[in-house]
Amino acid sequence: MISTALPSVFPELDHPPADIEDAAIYVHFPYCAHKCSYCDFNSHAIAHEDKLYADAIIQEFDQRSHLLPTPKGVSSIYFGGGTPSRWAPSQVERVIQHLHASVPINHGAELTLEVNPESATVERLEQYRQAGINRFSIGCQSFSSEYLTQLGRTHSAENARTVVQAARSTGAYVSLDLIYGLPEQSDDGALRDLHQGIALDPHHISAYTLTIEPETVLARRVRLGTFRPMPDDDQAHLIEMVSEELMKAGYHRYEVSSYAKRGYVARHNSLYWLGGYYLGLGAGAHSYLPENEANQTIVAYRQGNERAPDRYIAKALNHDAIHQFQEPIALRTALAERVMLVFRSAYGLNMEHWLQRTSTHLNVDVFTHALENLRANGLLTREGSWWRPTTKGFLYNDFIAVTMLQAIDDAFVQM
Amino acid sequence: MAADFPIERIRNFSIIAHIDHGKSTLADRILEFTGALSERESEAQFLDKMDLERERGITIKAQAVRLAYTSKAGDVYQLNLIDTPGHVDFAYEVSRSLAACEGALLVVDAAQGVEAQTLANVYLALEQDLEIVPVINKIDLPSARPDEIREEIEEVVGLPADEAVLTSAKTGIGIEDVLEAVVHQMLPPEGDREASMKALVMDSWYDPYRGVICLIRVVSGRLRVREAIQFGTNWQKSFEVLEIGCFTPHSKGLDVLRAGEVGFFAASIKDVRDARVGDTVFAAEAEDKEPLPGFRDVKPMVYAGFFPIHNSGYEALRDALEKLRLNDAAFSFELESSQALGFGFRCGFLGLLHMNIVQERLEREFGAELITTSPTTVYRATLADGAVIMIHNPAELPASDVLETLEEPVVMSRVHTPAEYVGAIMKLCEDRRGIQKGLEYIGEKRVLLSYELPFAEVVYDFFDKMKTVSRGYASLDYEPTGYNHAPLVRLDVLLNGDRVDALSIIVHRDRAYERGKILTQKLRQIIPRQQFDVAIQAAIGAKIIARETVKAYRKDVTAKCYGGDISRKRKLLERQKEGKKRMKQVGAIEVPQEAFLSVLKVDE
Repeated sequence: MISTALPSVFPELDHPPADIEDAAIYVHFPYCAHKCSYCDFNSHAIAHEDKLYADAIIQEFDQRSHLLPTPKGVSSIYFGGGTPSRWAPSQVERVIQHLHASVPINHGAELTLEVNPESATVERLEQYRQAGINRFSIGCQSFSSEYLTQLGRTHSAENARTVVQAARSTGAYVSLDLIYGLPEQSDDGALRDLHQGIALDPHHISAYTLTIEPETVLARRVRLGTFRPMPDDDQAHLIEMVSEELMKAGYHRYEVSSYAKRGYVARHNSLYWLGGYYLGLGAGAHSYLPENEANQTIVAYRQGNERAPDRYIAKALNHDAIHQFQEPIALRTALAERVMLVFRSAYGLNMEHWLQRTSTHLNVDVFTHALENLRANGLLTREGSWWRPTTKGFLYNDFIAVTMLQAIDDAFVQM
Repeated sequence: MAADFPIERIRNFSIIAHIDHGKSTLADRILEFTGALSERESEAQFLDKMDLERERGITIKAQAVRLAYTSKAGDVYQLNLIDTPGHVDFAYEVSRSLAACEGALLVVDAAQGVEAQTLANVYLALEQDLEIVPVINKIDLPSARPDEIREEIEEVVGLPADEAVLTSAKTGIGIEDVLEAVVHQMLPPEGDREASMKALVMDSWYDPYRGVICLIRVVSGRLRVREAIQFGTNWQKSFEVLEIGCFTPHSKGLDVLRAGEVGFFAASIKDVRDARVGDTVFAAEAEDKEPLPGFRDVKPMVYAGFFPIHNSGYEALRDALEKLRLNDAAFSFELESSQALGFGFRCGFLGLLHMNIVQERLEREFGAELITTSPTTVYRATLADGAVIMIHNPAELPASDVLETLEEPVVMSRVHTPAEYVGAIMKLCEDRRGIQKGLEYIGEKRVLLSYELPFAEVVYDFFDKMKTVSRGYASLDYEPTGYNHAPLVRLDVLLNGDRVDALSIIVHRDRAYERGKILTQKLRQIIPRQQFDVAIQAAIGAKIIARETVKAYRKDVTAKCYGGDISRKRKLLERQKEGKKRMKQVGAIEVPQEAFLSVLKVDE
């Protein structure tokens, strides 16, 4: 019953979908062996009950699946964490089977599982593969023991290489995560790391500059003065270097930090940037769902689940409301989020489609004026009705986002 | 009709005090004692009407309250307690309020003694020949030292203080003694009630329902409802008095105001500029139309540009300015268009405090979001073809090749100071290009210094500096005397090569280099990093005299943004967006509002 087919190749970048009507499901597995120094995700380094957590996910899904519109089916399921590669493959399989039985999951849907190199073996990855996972996102972060130590990772460089190779051998698509822009990291140091990743020939690479998030181990060390983050200007230089190197190696930059060989962009992540709906299951998972009530102003809402795993499980099994917060999204906010996110991706914005949907709500001239200004600054380019970020636009992406938020404010027509 | 209230039973007086020495509390106690206010009402410090005034402890508008007091001897008196504005910007208004009085209470804190601010108003009161009664307040304080304070009053102020009244306005001690001193030590007003009506305008303000309300002191004759009146500065118009009254402190209608009395009238006057402070009101049919002495046509002396942060705020700002002008004859505005800031208004003020008050009222009462440019004085330019133009805006100064001469306004300033600070004050005046016109000892301890000073040197921080060097004891007043030639130049600021008109200033040539240097440094700190380097240059004509660079930032991007991050990310960026709204786009450069006032703060 479970398909082990590979994800279908995502539409080529030149013809991205103008609108995302596919739906996605995110499943959060909150447990980790320990907490990494840069991590501010909802992760809990405590023992867990694999089956109990799967029971809770299934209960939650049954409670909430009707909220997710699936006119074109579900095109991606993403197991993130935490460390979902510590979740028993049999339980992951149970969850996938249950979803299959309840909602239309498209043939060729992308089923990704995040993998921590320390907790994966060839056998285990093969079991996930048989369970229906067809894409592994492997948190290598670096192939240098020095950098791995700085990041508080417990796996070794060798470990990472072995796992990537194992993942490849299952036939699934492979993505690996790299972190660069570490303190005192030289150009050479960053390039060496990158080339080791490229040498493993993954389909996809997510290359992030190290960001000090508040409430992390690193943030505390920065406060204490024991960790001196690389200055922004130096990170900017590395970003330019790394993206050029990746493009030389045949990886297309299709988002600020995401690179893929032709056809292998991450469908699930793309859906976030293109404004698709997703149902988030599990402790602390977020959902973005349409508002179905006839409501003049609210068009969607975002929910965040109970974060503490124990309480989450208890609520899910008791059929209690699981969300910890719910944020109604007004039309204006929905538009703001769209323009804030859409230029993170190389797809950009198709004005023709955008105006078809928004021209009664937006003053077209005011909105276009903002785009033109960004183009004059060299941050956007325009090809036909597509507006896309330039390389510089990737570097100043938050500036674009703020400018577009302002554009929505200025252009929004109060009905 | 009831018989006239006898003029010899009237006392018109004001209260002079340092900011914390209990003026408002004493006034409230007097109101309570005479039954004008209940205790509950008085907690609101009734005399200060506007919020802003109460917060700053500054009275902007004059007020007058009529009280009935029965003396210990059993005589009934009409007391008019006149509250005055209290800042150098409003010195003229103070003088007009004092001109309506015969006496003043000088309130001194029993612990702190005579403070500087008090002196300025004492000098003004002495110039009006007022009878000054010292009141030593806060005698309930453990640190009170009334005997020493008495000596201090005699030495510093030069007033006999043997009979100073001891009070505690807080606890109510001595209030009756104060009132007895008012009726016995101060003189009644003089004035022929049978002569034709003549009155002094102490203040005027706009009431949306009744038009302009004039606060007056009748000097001769009687003012009645239905009477036709005229103002000394405007023979063209006459008005019919529709309403007469006084404040008790609540507004109370009357049939008549007689010589010696203080009160208000309304006469369907549409514009405060038709009823200016210091003007004389005449009965229209009077033959004697000799105006009262001392009228001064108060004109704005300081100009600054007020611009809405967003162009969309222009209409609202104009409406707000119009409303404020209704109430403030010394305030003016006209359209200004700036290349950098778009459409706004060039506004005229008496001084910087006046400007700050208007600015705060715009922001607070009208919710206006403003960018204010550096205040400037009015320069007089003579062009090569002989035409003379007044420059209210440095950006409008013509190029040097068509400019024959440039003159700056000068003021005659008078500084009263205890003798020990004379040296420091002389140095300050000379640093500010002042020319000494007089040095006069008043008694042994007080000195009156007169200096002719370029007004531009006085307007910014002279008053503060003077207070600093004299530990607060010196007082300043000034009046404009005309224009003097000076080697003045326009200092321009260029951002990436383009002149920003709103940042131009006119400065003395000898100061230009230093000002240019400090200004560019200041702007470098204020202008945030952008996606490109920003060159900040100061220039005189084509000549660059200072340069600073704001280096570009090289990235502005969040590395990760997935489903669970979107809400937080949006809120973060929304906050950045709000911050940006406070910036003005000048060409491609985002310039924070405060940059436009930085010219003012080069001394910090």
